[in-house]
Amino acid sequence: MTSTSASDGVGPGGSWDYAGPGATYFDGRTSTAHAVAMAVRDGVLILRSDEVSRREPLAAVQVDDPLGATPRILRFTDGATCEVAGTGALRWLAGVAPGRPSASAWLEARAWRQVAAVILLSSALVGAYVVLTPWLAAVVAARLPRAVASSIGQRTLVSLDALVFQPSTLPPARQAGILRAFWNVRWPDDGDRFDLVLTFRHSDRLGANAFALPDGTIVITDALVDLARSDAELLGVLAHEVGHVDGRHGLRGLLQQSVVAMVVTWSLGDVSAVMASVPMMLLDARYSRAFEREADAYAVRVLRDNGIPPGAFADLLERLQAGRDRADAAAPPAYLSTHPATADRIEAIRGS
Amino acid sequence: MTTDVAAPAPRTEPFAFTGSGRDYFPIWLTNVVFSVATLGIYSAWAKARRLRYFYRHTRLAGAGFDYHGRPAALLKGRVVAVALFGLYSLAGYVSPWLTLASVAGLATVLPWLAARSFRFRCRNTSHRGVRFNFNGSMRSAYGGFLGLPALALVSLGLMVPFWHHRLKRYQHGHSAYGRSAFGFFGDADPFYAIYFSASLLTIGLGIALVVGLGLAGSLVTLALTGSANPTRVEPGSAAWVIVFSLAIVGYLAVITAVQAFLAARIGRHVWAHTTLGRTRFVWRIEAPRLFVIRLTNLLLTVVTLGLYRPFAQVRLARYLTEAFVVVGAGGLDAFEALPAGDVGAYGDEAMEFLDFDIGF
Repeated sequence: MTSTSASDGVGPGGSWDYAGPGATYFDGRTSTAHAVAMAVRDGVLILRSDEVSRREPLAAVQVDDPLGATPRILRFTDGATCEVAGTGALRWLAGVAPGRPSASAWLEARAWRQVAAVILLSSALVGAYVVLTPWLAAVVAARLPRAVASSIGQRTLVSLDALVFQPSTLPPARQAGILRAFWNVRWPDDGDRFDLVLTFRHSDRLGANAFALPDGTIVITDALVDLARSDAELLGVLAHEVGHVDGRHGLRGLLQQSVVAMVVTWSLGDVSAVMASVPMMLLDARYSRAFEREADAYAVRVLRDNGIPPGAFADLLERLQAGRDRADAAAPPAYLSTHPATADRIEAIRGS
Repeated sequence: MTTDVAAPAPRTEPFAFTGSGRDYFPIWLTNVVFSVATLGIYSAWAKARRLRYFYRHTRLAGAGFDYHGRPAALLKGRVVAVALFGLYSLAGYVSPWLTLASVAGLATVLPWLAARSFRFRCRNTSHRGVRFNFNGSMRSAYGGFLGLPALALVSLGLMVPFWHHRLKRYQHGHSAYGRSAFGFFGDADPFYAIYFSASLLTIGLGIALVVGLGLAGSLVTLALTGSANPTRVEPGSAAWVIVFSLAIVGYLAVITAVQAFLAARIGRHVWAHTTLGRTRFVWRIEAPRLFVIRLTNLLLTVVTLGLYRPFAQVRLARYLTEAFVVVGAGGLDAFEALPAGDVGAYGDEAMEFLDFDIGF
């Protein structure tokens, strides 16, 4: 390596701090690469090769912080750069330009810190799922304008009527009887709840089933009415559905599912939709079961307050469960497929 | 005495990838932890770190690449993307007309975002101190992205190969390295051929999957419950879980296989028809190997609850990078740079968030 200037103490007479491979200079105007030797004297960075000679105060050279064993780049103000790659060269540069202290560097420096970070992060995520999201959803659902819930409920009913519902084939007298029994019940009203509307439908696709919509509409299918042996049993199911309305479970469920969907999609990023739907289903199921328990508890309370034995509700659930065990795959009682762990529910209802 | 010297064979220069999973894991972990702790704000810095890591470990003839995107600019873009996505989601809750309007609005804005996205990514990428560039006009962007996808929908997907060809032609044909322009030659026919083969592959694999699952399902339920009818299995029981898991894995395997096939075939074709002055490119990726890598990455990532992801990313990057070869008659030293410019980041982020893959 020749140098015409020996006054800065580097060159064939002097010593280079680093003369091995790994330092490559680019002038920023063409793509030609120059392998250079590097030194720092009195705070001045010196790069030299056969074609290149640069002196620059180190303070005027921009060096990004270390990033693992990634090559680092020295940037000069005129657009020229020097790429430093390879263990030896990076080690020399780390001594000269260690990089600003930063939280990320601190975390990356020791393995135990990373383990601790993983544990903390997992706990935070679990906490957000179990506690924070349901709490936030309840708060938001309580404050959403009624128009939103009404709109969702009405549009859902319209879609269901188009897709799976036909008009009820129950005799009008039977419907009137059920409605009378329904309105004879003293439904707790804190003034905040949507107005209840009970309506009947027939559905081959959905079999014996009942739904509560966010706007207070409760739908019960003919098959479920026929399965019941007394009005008390039906009132059990209806009380459960009113429980969903009272607790705004529809809205809360939507909000919680949206959060789950957002987080799962964001974290799985480039993976297919199927991959995302499985964890979403599992996470949503836990939320659903919580709502079902709440609705069951509400139903038991209201039935008791009105002198209706909750055991009737449990009887109907048992009959539904038995029907499901007996039935062939073509027409399972769908009511139970949205309410997992039926045996536990029956036990809870009878026990309370 | 003269000696006839044959023209020297073009120098082939393969890429190298020097990163490792072990090295990248702490960086990735910091990215994740800080992004979650800051509710996503750090993700802009995380992306800059990730791209710097992968670009700088991508090396060609002893020199690496570099990413210059400033995190603050990326953050602006992310905020815009989140706002757009949020509006679209909320529209669904309010009224179907609003959803339609927001979809139409997004579709209108998409080509502009895509064009800016290409430009941002290109101009913030450099190699040997010379930055890349992108000169695609808005008109060709709108022609390529706005009109054609609508046509593709209407034609039941028959226009998809045509649209894909146009997209690649737009991307590759308007990119530049310093003062030298990339070129893209070739028409849409090979795209049609590849997509047709992919359709056949999908059908074949789909049939194999259904048959295989049926067999596996019967075998499993026979072994565990004594009945050979898979539809009588109680959800939640062991047999059901096994069959369900097999179904999911099988479905993912089929999707991954078709994606790998398309990516390998189209990728190879596109780069074989891309020029940079007198330089040519060869991308030697093979669908079977790509399929194996992607599927095992996916399964390992799921099994480790995500902790394998940095290793998966490095593994895939190494395969894709080291299969890339530059065939340069003129060598790599003679490219000139343009004066520097600046581009906002909106486009780049919005495209990533909306899951629109427009990798260079």
